[in-house]
Amino acid sequence: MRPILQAAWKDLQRHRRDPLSLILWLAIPACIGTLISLAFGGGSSPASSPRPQLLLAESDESLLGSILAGAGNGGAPLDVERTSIEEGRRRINNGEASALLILPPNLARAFLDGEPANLELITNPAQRILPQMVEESLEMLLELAFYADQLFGESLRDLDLEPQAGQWVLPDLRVAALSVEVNQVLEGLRQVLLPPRLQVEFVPAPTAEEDAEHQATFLSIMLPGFLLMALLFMAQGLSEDLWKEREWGVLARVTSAPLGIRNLLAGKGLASLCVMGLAASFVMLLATYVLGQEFAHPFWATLWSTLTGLALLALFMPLQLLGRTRQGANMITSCVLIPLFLLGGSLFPLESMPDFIAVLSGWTPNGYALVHLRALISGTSGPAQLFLPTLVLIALICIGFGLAGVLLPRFVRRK
Amino acid sequence: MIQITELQKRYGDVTAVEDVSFEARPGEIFGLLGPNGAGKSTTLGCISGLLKPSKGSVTVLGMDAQLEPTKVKSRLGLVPQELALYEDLSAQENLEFFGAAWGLGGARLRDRVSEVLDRIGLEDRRRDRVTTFSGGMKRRLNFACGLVHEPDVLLLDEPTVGVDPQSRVKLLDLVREEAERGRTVLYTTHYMEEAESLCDRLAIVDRGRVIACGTLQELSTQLAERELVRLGGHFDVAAIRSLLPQVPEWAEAEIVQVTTEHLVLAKGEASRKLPSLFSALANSGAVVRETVLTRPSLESLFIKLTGKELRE
Repeated sequence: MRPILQAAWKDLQRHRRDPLSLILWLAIPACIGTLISLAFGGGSSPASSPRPQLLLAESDESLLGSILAGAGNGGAPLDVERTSIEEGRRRINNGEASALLILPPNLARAFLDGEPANLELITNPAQRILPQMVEESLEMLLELAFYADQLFGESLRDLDLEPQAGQWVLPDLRVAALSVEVNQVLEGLRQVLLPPRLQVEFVPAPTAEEDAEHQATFLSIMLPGFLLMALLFMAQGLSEDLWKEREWGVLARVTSAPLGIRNLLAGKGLASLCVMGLAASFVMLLATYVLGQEFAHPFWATLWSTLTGLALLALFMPLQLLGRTRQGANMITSCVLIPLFLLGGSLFPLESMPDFIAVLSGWTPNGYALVHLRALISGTSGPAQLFLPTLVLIALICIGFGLAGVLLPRFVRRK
Repeated sequence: MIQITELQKRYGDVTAVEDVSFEARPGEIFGLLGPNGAGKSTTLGCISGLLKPSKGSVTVLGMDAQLEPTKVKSRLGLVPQELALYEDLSAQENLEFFGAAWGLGGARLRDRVSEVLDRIGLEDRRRDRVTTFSGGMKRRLNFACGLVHEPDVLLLDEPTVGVDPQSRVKLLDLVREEAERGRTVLYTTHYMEEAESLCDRLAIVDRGRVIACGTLQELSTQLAERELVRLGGHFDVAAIRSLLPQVPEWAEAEIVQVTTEHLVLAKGEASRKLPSLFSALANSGAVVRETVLTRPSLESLFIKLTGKELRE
């Protein structure tokens, strides 16, 4: 064991002298994660979809204008803000809203009398989807208005909808009568529009806090993937160290030492385990204390990540030794690294992958490890469930390092 | 002590070393002299365990290198031809690692590291990274890494290649010191003067074979104190071969090499008999433009044995 520890200590000293590589291995996935997060509007808070902003301008304050203005607060997928025509034009010219709707004077009367009226909708040319959402929402409102006219047009026409001194003044009795009428009509239609074929269960809406708790954050989905991505890069980088030692001639010298080349390899594995453990711990601590992420089993998650890193190193080691040149070896490892990087769930969440790709991902070492890491982080599985997966990783490590041990002496002798 | 018997190393169809046998004794500097590609490093590789011999045996301190490789390795110190250092570690860290790799530890390792750093003149640079060292300093550290564990047998593979004169003198002094301490030193080189000044005994190697072996004195007698006459110009090869036996003073001279442009002859007291040679050559139609007379040396022996210069 002492020779292995000596070899490991030597590598740890070397890693201590080259902190930039370690930082880069962690920084690359962090940069990729940040870019993806920004691109998809993610962050540590639940993602929210953008809403179109509609500016509503009218020369007189009509009831229809008020109904439209209230639509934004009544569940319509747009935010409506009342403004003056001049202010609305200025803001839409500055690109500060998705669309501006200008209502003509006496719109309500024209609507009830069935007379034509022109509604002017000015959209923001800098946006594409949001103005379209405004147009579709308005079309829906117009259809709703058509059916309301068909059902309650007569009663509405009897109402005096013109404001008096800037306010609508309707007698209580007329409002009550109209309400009763609307209710009766809707009750009559209920049998037709809402046949009792569906059992409706009323569930209380969750509070904002409950909603935030249950909704998976971008960080919680992507963090395990980014950690394994960092370990993937580290594994490739650390495996390349064999070439450096070969070029420096030290592998040949160690071959003639009682320490032996295989102990050197084992020491390299041990040193890499320490470095990867350190990196995994750093990421977990950062996520916990800086980003506020909670982990169900932080210790086991760190241990599992570290072991995964060593398994990835064991995968890359023999591949490095197969190359005839350092560039050739880099090509070979890159041919393995890139598919693992793309398929292993680090870049794209497993949930967003097509089913067959997701299955394929589960067969990659990092994809396999990711599933278990996420389960450990979320608490859906614990250390007890890790027994068999750990055996799988240990088997991978043994096979990888065993192969490297066989190939290494030839690698040293090769000219 | 190192005993090599009928050593052979083949790479497929290529034979790098063929039937090499020699013996290096304790306290002795044994030189392997030969041009690049002669098989010196391959021989050292077979002794150090880096290469597996195809045939023959290597015995170090009475132990078979094939049967007891770990024991043999623990008594060997290797200084490879190319630098073999961790460039990103300091001089001290390199020595500590290689000392530990050969089984040293604790206070003994620390003492030995300090001692060799002092001996190679890098005590004040012990904490500096190897990348900051000059070529000569790296060579000295490379040498120190091979002897930090006090090996009984030191294998030195052209340790002075590319070294500045100052570092070279320092290194050669260190080699002599190691031999004086009773270690067996096997030293490969293609520098004649280095071999002549340093080695107690020599094996001259060419194309994977030992073509001569012995002390410097023994090898010189093979030349029979003959001087080497090298002539440059234009020569008729057939005419020269038939002419020389007929010249009384040169009838017993050995034609080492003759081409249309060069003629190399080996002859005792040749310097006194040059006029008769020039006269005979002039009569044969040869044109002599350059004459070099070399006293008996390793170089002349090498030329005599191989028909070519060492640095060809």
